[in-house]
Amino acid sequence: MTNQSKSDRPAITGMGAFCSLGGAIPELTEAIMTGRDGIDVVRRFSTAEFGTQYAAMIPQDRRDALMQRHSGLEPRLAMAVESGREAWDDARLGRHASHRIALVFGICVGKFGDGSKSGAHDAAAVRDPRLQDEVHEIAHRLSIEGPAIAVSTACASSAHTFGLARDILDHGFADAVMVGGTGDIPIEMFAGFYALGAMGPAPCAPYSVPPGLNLGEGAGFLVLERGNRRLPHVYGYLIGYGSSLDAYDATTPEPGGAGVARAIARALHDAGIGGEEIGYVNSHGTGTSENDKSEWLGIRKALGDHALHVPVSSSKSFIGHTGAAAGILEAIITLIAMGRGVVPPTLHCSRPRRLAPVDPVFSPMPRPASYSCAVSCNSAFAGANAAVAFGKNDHAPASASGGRRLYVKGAGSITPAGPDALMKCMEAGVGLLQLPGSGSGRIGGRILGEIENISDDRTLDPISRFSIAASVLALRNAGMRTDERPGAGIGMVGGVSRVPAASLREFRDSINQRGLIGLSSRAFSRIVMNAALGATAKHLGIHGPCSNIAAADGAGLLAVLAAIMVLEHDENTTDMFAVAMDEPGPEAAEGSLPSSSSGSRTEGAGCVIIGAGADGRSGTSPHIDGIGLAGPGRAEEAMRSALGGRDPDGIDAVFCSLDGTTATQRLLDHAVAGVWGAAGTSVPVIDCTPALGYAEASSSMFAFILGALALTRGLADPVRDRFGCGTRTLSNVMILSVSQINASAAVLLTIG
Amino acid sequence: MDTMRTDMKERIERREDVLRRLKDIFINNLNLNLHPDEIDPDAALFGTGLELDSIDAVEIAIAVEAAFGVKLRSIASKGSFRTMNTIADLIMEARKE
Repeated sequence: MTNQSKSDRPAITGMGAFCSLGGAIPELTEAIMTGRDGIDVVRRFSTAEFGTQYAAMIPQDRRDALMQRHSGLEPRLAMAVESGREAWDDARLGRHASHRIALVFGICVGKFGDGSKSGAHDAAAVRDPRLQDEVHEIAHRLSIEGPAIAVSTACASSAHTFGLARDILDHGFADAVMVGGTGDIPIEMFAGFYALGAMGPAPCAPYSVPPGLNLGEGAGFLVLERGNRRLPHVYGYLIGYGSSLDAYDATTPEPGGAGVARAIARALHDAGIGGEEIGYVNSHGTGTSENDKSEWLGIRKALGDHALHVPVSSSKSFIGHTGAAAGILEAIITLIAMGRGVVPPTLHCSRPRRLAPVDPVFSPMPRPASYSCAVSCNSAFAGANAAVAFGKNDHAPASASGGRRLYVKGAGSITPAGPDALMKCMEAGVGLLQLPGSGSGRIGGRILGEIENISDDRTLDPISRFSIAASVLALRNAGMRTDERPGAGIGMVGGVSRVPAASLREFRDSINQRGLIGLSSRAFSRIVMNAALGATAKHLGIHGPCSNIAAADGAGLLAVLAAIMVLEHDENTTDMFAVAMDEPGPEAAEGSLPSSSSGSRTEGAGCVIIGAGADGRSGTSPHIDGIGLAGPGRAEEAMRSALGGRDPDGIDAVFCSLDGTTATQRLLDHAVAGVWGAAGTSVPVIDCTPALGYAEASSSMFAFILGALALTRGLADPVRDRFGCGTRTLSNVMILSVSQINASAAVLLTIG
Repeated sequence: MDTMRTDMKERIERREDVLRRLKDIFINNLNLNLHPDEIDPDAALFGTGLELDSIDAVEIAIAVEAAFGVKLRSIASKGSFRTMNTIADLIMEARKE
């Protein structure tokens, strides 16, 4: 099995925040305790077209001062660095070696163009934004040298960071993890939410009238550390975490709240507590009728009768809807309130709406309350839900999970070389050579239609179709049908790199043609990084745990790692999909196959299904024998973690997919020399990029799939000769991802 | 009697015009790949039938407001978007037809 250590609950040792309530935690605390909100008339741009004037923005003078302190940084990055430093200092993180500190950061679409003007959007001004580059910058400024990973699930982004951070700590890949998120309000986002009819005409009053949300901006951080050490101070403990997929709609939540219920129930089960021990629920509570009602139904479902007694309030009445920062800022408010012995109110409220919580804490001031467990939950576009349970005390240590064997149940891929080209490589024995059709650089619509069985792609953009195609192929390969296992034991983690090109272009075109007031709601819903993940979950009926790793290069293998760690932690999950997808747009895809190493990018998707436990197939499928994760440039450390003390001489090949730069090649060579050179042996290294082109998120997934295929099918002679494998049968392979901007990741696969 | 029949006839014509324009909206704004004659005005819009989703509902409301000056969202819950005929009825009623 892999190297998961005993799971004591992570302690929360540091906090930092920068939002409309103030530039640091003390101001935020004072605002919560005195019922002071940050919602005001918007002055930064004209809202005359939008029928609503309110948002929770950073006051201009404080924003100007912030920009002066961090010249050269976008405002949302500046807020992140500022709140990150506050949390760092608070936790005295200098106690740790930098490479033992990790960053998991929630971030959503940001820069659309020159946000100060509502006019033309120059395509050249914002080409293919990568969120991971921003996260890398934040890590750099916070002197974090461990893994730094962007998580992007729209409005739940920073809530989903807690699960991955907890898993990283449990496996010993870091001693401290900073979790955080940031969000600001470009005018395009204002216009987008207005187009969806979501904005409220007044300061938002969740569960009351008038319905509607206000946007907000801000950034926040919490520091998580292993609980069993001497710590300077502890604000509380992360006692449980749960996530789920609605698999319902691109923007509206499943009306009965079943997805929210699943996430909360998972968090409670993870914490080992019943609903009656929860003293406060901090809801997502955006203020819209759909969200508030369905979320309350979900809370009621998860907590049962106790829901009739527990206070449920929305902090968005204080700070607005801060997008990717909502999860972290609302978690911070929950911890502060629990520590102070109060429940925060829902502000601006008069009479309750139909189907509001029984106790929505309508009050201008917080209410004294003593409790020791609380839940904060968040939901997002494309049906991604998360629930985080906090405790004043660390509760009983988590029981070590059963040590189930995890195996590769199925795999599927779609590339310009055709569906399942990787499989065809192995079956036909042609190996990694040029395949028919690969020269076009694009994936044909007809091929997709045949795989997904979707003839009408009216609501799906190309990246969603790639993702669905690869997942359907993986499902067929695994011989599975998702309706075999009702009960949401199957989840999905996405791996992505850039904002989907076709949808971004459609979004910008709609603004150029019809102005901000006429922007395409459809395109707006598809430019969140988890849109394709949600569409795939909906197509396949997947309701289990979820996340979305927006780490760019190597995101595919990081998604596999995240999926493996979910299965190791949660015995109620039986299978996890990991699907990586790329759609860099036609300009980038031209001329990218087969032998490109010039940095041009290809499109496609790859999916693996990891299964747990024993069934008929598992005996003949590759097993996960070890995983490793370390900071960028520390691939040797990642591989040694995955080896777990095994002799490197037993590894028959290393599979990877390099981006073609000399820097990455050097990282790889150095790491291989470190592990094998030191042992006095060598190992064949198979780089998949020359045959398949380079897709930032998917290539590492293709490398994983090829490694798994090589174990099950054996490599044909031409390939063995090409890569100098010799004639030995492969029994153990290492899949490796080396990156300079996120992490080093390794998975050890074995067969027999 | 004759006046009533003429009024009725005109009302029917106005309603057919509304239905025709609604079909145009559906085809153009929602990118429906259908000929107007292929759209059954009694077909369910959401879930089954045309299988539209919540974003389509938003686009319909926006387009209807622009074309007919009727604020669908303020007078209807999503349940009353059930078919194209029910939307036409709402429009006619809002215009006091």
